Amino acid sequence: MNTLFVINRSWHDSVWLFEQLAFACPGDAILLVEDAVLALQSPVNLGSFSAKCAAMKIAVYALADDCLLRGIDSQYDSIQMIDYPGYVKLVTQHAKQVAW
Amino acid sequence: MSAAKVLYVISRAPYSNASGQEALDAILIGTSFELDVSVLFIADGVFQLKQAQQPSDNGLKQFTKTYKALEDFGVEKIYLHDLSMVARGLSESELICATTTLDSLAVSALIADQAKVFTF
Repeated sequence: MNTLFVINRSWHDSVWLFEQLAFACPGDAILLVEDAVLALQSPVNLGSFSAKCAAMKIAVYALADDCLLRGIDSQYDSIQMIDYPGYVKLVTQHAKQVAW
Repeated sequence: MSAAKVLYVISRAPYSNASGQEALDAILIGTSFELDVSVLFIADGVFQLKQAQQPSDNGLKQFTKTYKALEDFGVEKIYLHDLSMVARGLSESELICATTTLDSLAVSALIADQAKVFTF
């Protein structure tokens, strides 16, 4: 039963959450929305986060609309940008959501 | 059919917002629907359980006392993230009620095991 973890808190206020990979298990997915996309401005922090997620087989997504809104220009191979229909699809593909 | 497993995660400190009170309301509603309720205190949420809170000096009600009464409502699974507690200079002896401490891996497993997770 896979879980979609949706993080909306800024990295800078909630480092613990990112350090713990949102408490996701292998096979789960993490989606960054709202202030969580601000992390994409910090390549060093985010690089280590996405590397750890990749090692754990946790997929990482970011909501493109929230990046555009905040002027965050993100180009990461390890992070998949999705739109709102993509968000809906992710929700349907997971048994439950945890909103952090 | 066994009762659905529902986890309430409390991740914010008390008094600066209504998050803790809202969590308690939700937990008590959950128990009335005979759900298999667990509660997890994590990050600043561990401060909800700190002893010696004196909100009445500020004209506030100490709603956090209700956590002690959860057991009377059938909530026996109360967990605390050990790293969050230690990082905030707290120890189990300073808490208002007994909890089961979990390491980070155990927290992940707890979340994975639930049908629904509500975060506050």
